[in-house]
Amino acid sequence: MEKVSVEGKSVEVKLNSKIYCYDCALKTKDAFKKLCRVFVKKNDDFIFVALKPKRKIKNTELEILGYEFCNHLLNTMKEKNTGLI
Amino acid sequence: MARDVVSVDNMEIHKNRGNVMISVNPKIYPLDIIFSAAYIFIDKAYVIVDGDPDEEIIVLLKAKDKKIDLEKLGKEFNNELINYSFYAVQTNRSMPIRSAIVQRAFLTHAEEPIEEEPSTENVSYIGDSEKIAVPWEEKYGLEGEKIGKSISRRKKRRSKT
Repeated sequence: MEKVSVEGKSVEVKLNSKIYCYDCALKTKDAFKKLCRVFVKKNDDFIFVALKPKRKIKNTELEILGYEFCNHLLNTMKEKNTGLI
Repeated sequence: MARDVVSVDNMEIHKNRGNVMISVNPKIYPLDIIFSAAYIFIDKAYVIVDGDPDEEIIVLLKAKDKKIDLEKLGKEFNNELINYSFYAVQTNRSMPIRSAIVQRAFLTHAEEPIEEEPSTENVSYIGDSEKIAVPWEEKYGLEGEKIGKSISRRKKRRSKT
């Protein structure tokens, strides 16, 4: 399964919970709240993020939105590791 | 292996998907160094980190621009890993010196301890050859008192005029 997959009108991101921190995912969620509805849940192995834009956008843009979430999450993780947050 | 998947060193280049997967040994490069190195690439590529932090970490770089050379991108990532590892080693090495400098800086601007005033209880007048510290009455007796009063009267008159 792809890490970023477009499912209908939303995009789903599946991240490794051993690598990414759930709290950081929730913090990143706040940054995307204005643009889209964000759902974050986790189990032992993965963190699942679903992004559903508030306005209609193309499928290619949806995929980019998912990847942008990953980059934003990476930034949050780096800040956490360097002790900025 | 398909024709559009090329394996070079620790990289796997997927030309049709426009991404490169880099395998990193977490025993050599810890996770925080991988994040720091990956952070440099977020303007050029989308980054996803995956794998097992104890065994093998896979970094996926998906180029934002299709014209970007994926092999070069992967190799630059490897260089950044070395760059940040070196930085981490140097930081650890200079840690005692930095903490000493900061400590010194704080001590320089710390408040100086207030010196206690000497007590006046057992003050002797030894060394007071001119007897400046001796009271007027003790020094001149009754005559001195009269002189003292006349001086104070003069002062009062001057202040009235």
